[in-house]
Amino acid sequence: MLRSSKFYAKLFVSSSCALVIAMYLMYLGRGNNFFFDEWMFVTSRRGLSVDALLSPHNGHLSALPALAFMVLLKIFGLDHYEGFRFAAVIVHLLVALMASLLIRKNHGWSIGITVFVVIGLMGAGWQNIFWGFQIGFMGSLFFFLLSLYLLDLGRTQKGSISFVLSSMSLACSLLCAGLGVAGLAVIAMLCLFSVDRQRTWWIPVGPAVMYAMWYLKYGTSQAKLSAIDGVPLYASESASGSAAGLFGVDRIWGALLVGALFYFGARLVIRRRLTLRSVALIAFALVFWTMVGLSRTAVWEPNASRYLYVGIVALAVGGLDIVHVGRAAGPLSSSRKAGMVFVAVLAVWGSHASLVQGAAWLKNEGDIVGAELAVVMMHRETIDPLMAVDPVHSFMLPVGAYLAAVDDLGSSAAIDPQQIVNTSEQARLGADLLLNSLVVPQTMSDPAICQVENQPESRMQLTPGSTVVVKILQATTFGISRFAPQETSRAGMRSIEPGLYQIDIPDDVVDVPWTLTLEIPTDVRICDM
Amino acid sequence: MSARLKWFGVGLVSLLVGIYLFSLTAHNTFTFDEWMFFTDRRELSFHTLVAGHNGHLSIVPAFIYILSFKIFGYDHYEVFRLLAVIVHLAVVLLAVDRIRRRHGWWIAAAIGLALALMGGGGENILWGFQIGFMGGLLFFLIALRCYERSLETTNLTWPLLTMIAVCLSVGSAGTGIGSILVLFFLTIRTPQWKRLWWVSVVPGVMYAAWYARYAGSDNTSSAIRAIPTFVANSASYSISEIFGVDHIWGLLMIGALIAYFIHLVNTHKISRNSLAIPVFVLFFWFATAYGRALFGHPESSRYLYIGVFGIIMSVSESVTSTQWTKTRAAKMVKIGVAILSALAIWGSHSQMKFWSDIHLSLSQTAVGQLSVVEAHRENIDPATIIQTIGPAPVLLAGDYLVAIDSVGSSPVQNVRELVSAPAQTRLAADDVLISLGIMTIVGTEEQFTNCESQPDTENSISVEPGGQSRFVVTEEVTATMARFFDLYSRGFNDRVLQPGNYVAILQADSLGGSLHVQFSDSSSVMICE
Repeated sequence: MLRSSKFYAKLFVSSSCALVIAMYLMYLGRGNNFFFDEWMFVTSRRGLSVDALLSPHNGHLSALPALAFMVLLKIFGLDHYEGFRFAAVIVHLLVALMASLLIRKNHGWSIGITVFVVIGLMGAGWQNIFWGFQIGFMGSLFFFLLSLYLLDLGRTQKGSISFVLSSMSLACSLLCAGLGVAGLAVIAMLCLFSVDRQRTWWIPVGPAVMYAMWYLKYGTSQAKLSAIDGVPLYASESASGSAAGLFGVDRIWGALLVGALFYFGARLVIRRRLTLRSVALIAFALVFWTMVGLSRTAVWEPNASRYLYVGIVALAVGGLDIVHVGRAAGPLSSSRKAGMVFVAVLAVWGSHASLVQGAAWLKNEGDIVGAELAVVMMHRETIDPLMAVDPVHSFMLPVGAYLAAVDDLGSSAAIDPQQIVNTSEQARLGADLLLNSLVVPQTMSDPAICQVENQPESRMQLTPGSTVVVKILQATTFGISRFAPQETSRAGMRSIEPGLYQIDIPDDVVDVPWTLTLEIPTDVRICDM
Repeated sequence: MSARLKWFGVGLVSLLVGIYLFSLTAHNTFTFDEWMFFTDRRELSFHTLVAGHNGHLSIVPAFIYILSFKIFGYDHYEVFRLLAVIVHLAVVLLAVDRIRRRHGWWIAAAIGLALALMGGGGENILWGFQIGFMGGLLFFLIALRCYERSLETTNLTWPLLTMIAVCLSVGSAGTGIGSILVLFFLTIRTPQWKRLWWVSVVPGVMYAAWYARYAGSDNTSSAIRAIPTFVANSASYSISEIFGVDHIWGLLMIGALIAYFIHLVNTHKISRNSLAIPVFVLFFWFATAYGRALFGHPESSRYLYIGVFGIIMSVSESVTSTQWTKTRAAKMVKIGVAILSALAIWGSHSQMKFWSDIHLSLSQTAVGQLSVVEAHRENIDPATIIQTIGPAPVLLAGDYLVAIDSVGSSPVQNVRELVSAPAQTRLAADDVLISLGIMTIVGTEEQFTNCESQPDTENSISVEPGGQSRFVVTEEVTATMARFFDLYSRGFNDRVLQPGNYVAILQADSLGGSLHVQFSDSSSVMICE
C-alpha cells in the first residue's frame, strides 16, 4: 500500500528523533558497568534452566529479563556492558514509542512525537534508562502499554487477532516484573466492565492463570497488610514526585499539579464524562503505587528514580487521556499544541540535569566495582572467595561467584589493572579496601630474627612482593594503602598489639608501591634481617 | 427558627467555646514578645505607640497593652488571655456572618465551629500577644463589611468607618497591610472610585509614612527565589492544618483549588468582590515570604491562622450553593460540610492542646525564674538575661525590676510558695538559683574540723536559707543540688566533686524550702561541724 509523503515525512522525523535520543543516551551512559542486582543474574542465572527463569527476584517473576540476560551474557560476555546498556535504551524507547502511539490516537502526531521526546529524555527516570537490569521493569511497562494499545486496536477494528496479541503482551508484561500485576488489574478492569465484555473477557484470563500458577509454585508475598495505612501517603508522594520529576522541580510543585489533575478528574466524574478507558493509566499508576507501598515498607522511597519512571509515563499518558475526554470534540488548536510543545521543552530542560547526574552516578558506581574487580582478578588465587567484592557497592557479589562467572563466560567486567591509578578516588579506595584484606601481619615467635632495629618514618613505601618484619613496642595502629590516600581509606587504621610481625606485600602486575602508614612510628621498629 | 433565636444560639455557643478556650490558658503568664511590651511599652507616648515590633506597625496592640497595664497592672494576665479569645471569636463571628449570607445558617454554623476550635491556629488563639496579629484580620473583615454597606448608601458614615477599620487593621500588625491593597482593588476603576478612593489611599499614605520613618525590612535579596516555595508551602500547610493531616494532602488540595480558581476565571464566574479575600491572603503570604522566607517557617501556627481563614472564606465567596436546588442534594451538602467540620475539629484538636501545653510550660518556667529574681533583686546583675527568643535576649533582670517597680505589680506577686508550685516552675527556680550562684557548692582551702558524720539515709545534706554546710569529699562523687525540684532529677544539676573540702551555700531569701545536696556515694563524704 502506498503511503502519502506526509506519512514518510513523519516517519523520518520520528525515526530521527529516536535515533538521536538513542545515541545521546548511549553517549551519556558510556563507561557504565554491571550494578547491584545485575550481579545476582550474572552469578546465578547464566545457564538456561526452569529455575533460572522462574525463580523470583525480590518477589518479581523475571523470566523474560532473566532470559534476556542469559542471551546477552552469551553474546557480549562480561566485558561489553554496552550491549546491556543498548538493550535498556531500546526498551526505554519502546516505552516512549508506546506512550506516543497511545497519545497520537487522541491528540495527533505532533503531540505524540512531543511526548515521545519528553519520555525519551526523561531525567527523573535515569535509573531505568542507564541500568541494563531495568529492561525487566521497563519491559513490563512496555508490554502493558502494548497490551492496552492492542486492546484499543481490537475494539476499533473488530479484530480478534489484536485481542490475542493483547493477551500475549499482558502475559509478557507479567513475565518481566511485578509491575505486570498492575497491568493485569487494569486490563481486567477494562475487559470485564466494558460493554463488549463478551468479546474481551478472556484476554486477562490466560495471563492471570499463568501468573497464579507461577505464584503458587514460586511466589512469596512481599506485601504487608499492616502497611495499608501508609499507602495513601505513599501514593500521594509518588504521584507528586512523578509530576515534579517530569519537570525536574521540587515535589511541592508536583503535588500542586496532581491536585489540579484531581480537580479536573473530579469535575469530569460529576459531569459523567470519565470512562474506564480514560482513567486506565491513572488506575494503573494507583495500583502500582499501592503495591509498592504495601511491599516496600522497610524502604520508604516513593521518589526512587525507577518508580518515578512508571509514574511519569502513567501521568503523562493518563493526564492526556483525561484531557481528551474533558475537551469538547475536535482537534487541538495550533496555539494549544504550541503551548504543549512549550511545556514539553520545559520538561526536557528541567529534568535534563537529573539525566546527566544519574548517568554520572552510575558510571562512578561502575568505576568503583570495575577497579575492585581488577584487584580480584590480579589476586584471584589468594583472595577469600566468600568475601563480598564490596560491602557497599556490590554486596551481593561474592568473589568466588564472580570468578566462577568469569571462568564460565571467558570474560571479565574488571578494568585493566594498570588503569586503576587513573580512576576516581572512590574507585581507588575500593581497590585499596580489597588489597587491605590481602595483607595480614603474621606473628613471629623468634625474637632473634630482629637483628637490627630501625625507627621508621610514619609512612613507608613497600614494593610489591616484598616482606617487612616489624617490632611493635606498644599497641598502636597501622594502615595499608596503595592507590588512594590513607586518610580517606575505607579500611581505616588497624590496631596491632605489641610483638614481632612479618608483613608480606602481595605481588601483582601493577608497579605502584604499597604504603604502610604508622600512627606512632616511635612505637614501631623495622627489623633488618 | 427565628433569626433572633439563631443569633442567641450563636451567642451561647460562642460563650461556651470562649470558656473552653479561656480554660486552656489557665495559669499562663507573659511569654516571648510580650516581655518586650512589658518593659518597653508600659507608658503612653507617641514613640511607644508607633515604634515597630519586628517590622510590624503595632499601634493597636501596644495601646491595648499599655491601657491594660495601667488598669490591671502586671498581675492580671487573664485580661490578655480573655482579649485573645474575644478577638479570635470576633474574627470567627465575622467569618460566619459572611458564610451565612452566602450559604445559610447550617453551613455557616458548622464551619464556624471548626474555625473557632481550629487547632492549627492555636498559637494565636491561646496567646494574648497575638491580639495584634488576629486584629489585622478582624479589622480587615470589618472594613470589608463596612465597604459593602457603603455601596448601599451615599452618606459618609460607612466609608469613614471603612477607612477607620483599614487604619486599625494596618495598625494592628503586618497582617493588616493587605487590607489597603484589597480596598484599593475593590474601588479602583469602579463607578464608586471618585466617592470611595480615599478609604484605602489615606491609610496607605499613613502606613507609607510610618514605614519610611520606623520600619526596617528583614528582607535580603536572596529571599526572592525562596518566595514561591514559601507561598506554596504556606497555602498547603494552611489547608492541611485545617484537618491536622500531612502536608502532602494540603499540597494536593491547594493544587485542586488553584485549578478551580483558574476554571472560575476562564469561565468568567468570579467577581471582583469575591476576589477580596483571596487577594488579602495571597498578599499576606507573599509579604510574609518576602520578609521571612529565609528564616521563617510557613507552617508556623500564627501564619496558618490567617491562611485557614483566608482559604475557607475564599472558597465560600467563590462557591455558589444555588445549583443544589433539590432538597436531597442540599441536605447532602450540609451533612458533608458538617462531617468535614467535625473531622477538622477532631484532627486539629491535638494542635490546640499542644499550644496550650507549650504556653503553660513557658509560663511556669517564667514564674519560677521571676520569683527567684524578685527574691534576690539586690544581688542580681541587672544585665542578667532571664528570657530569650532563640539566641536573642528579650528580658533582662534590670529591665524587669524597673518595670514592676514602675507599674507597682508583678506577674508573680500572687505566687504563694515555690515548694508546692508545678514541677516546671520548681525546676526553673532551681536552675536560676544555681546559674546565678545563689545556691552553690564551692571548694575551699580552709581546713575543717570535726568531720565525723555522714549524709543521711538518702545520701543527702540540707542547708537552710542563709546557711551553709561544710563537708569533705574523700573520693570522687557526684553531687546533685535541688531546692524546690525533685532531688532524683539526676542529670540536670549534677556536679562531679574531686576529693577536697567544700561548702554548700544557700543565700538568704523568703522563698521557703532548703537546699538539698545528694551524693552518689555517702561513704565518700564527711560532714563537718
